[in-house]
Amino acid sequence: MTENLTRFYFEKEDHLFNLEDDKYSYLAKGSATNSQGMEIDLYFKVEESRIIDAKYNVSGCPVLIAISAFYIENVIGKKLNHCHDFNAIGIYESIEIPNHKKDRMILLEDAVYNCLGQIGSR
Amino acid sequence: MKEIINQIYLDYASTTPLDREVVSEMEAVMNGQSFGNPSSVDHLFGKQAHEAVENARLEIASLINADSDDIVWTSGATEANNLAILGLARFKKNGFKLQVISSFAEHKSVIEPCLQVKKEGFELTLLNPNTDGSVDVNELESAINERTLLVSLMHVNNEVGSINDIKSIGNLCRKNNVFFHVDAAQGIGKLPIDVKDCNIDLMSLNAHKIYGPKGIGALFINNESVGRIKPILIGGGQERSLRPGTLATHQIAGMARAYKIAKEKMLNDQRHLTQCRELFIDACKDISRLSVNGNSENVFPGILSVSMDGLHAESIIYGMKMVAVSKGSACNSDDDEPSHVLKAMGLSQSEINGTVRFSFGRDTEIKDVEYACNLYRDSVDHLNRLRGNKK
Repeated sequence: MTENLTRFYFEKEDHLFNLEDDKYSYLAKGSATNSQGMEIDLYFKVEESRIIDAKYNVSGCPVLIAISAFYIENVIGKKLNHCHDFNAIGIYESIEIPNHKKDRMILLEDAVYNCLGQIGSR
Repeated sequence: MKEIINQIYLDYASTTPLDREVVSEMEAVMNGQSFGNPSSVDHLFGKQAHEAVENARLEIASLINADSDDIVWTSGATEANNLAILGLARFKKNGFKLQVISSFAEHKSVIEPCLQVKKEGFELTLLNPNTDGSVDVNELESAINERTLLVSLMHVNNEVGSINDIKSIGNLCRKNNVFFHVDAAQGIGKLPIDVKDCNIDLMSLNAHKIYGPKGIGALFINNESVGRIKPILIGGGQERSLRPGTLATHQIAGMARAYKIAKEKMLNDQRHLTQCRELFIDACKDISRLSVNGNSENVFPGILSVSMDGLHAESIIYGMKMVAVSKGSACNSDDDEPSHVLKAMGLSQSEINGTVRFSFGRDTEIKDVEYACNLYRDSVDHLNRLRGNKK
């Protein structure tokens, strides 16, 4: 991710999950954590196999925060079967993640799969 | 580049800007007739450089109450630490004393040479620091035995600013006939230290943390108590063969000028740094989950380590984009390894993750500290919102 884009998404607070406001609105939650104490919670609202809204909470390094915000902003409106395709979401095209932070993408991916698993099990 | 110029620098524990007088001193050496090799004393150019080096040696010695013959130039404190620990251990290896004592709170340039001498047959004892980061003198006394050759401890901790009781430790070592090495990289020129009064045998010094140049330092070797050590570099006779290599006259002169200024300004600097530290702590005391590392009674005021449980320091720092600070030791700030110092002090992983080191300096303005507090608060608030304001 270029420096400007990283900062832009790092600073964004548009789609944050707020327990008080959102606790009855979002059907699926997927979480992931790593050994460094970083964590992501994703929340998808799905209708007719399409994500009509998505929210998140995140704690971690700037790259993790930025890619989480970027992902959430871009997954809204996508069909469920596209939401795990990070190329389609555009992250890999837009983001230059430093080599030693590539595992943040795996963390995001785990949260997405966990969220999709929640939807599938319903 | 504009963003960098506008940043407020609060990373003085990592390095300091050059004092203008230091720059002038170095320029005078580089532009004048002291460009000769200080070892080439058969002609005027060399003699002039030699004189500059010896005058500088006197200046360094006077700050710590040493004899100038006891000062050996090095490239910095890291090399001085290596030379002290490896050099002493290797020279004395054939004796009966084969134990080295240090602590987990030390800089890696002490811990790794200690690990090296362990590989070379020494017994190594690394003490756990107190929760404030300093070493308990009673615990040290219990660790010393008849086989102890060397105790190597820092004066001021580089991550939290805790101060070791160097005088008591020095007395203890002398009483037990143990050599005492002090890594004074963070304390020199900021807190008074007298090598004779504190019974110090070896002490590592640098210049770049007190407004002097990078790439120059020194090792104080008490000739009376230590005598010889084994060089770790070979191939020249400079510095009585203890540290061969052509001396960098301009850097040495710059270091000496920085020490002279430090001596003159030490008390004022301490007052100013205390003011900066207290202001920051006071302004941030209502931030929930914030804790200050170290003991306020026993800390160098120029370093302030604060932990924010549950957040990540890298993001806190990224969020305060107009302030230049560190996660911890500058030497570790580009990796994801948790600080070994904070771990040894007993902080949880989550507290370590959220630890930021602010370090103030002579040029820090009060308004900059106030501004940094506000940015820190804003950054923490933003990150708390991102994580859903979890407790």
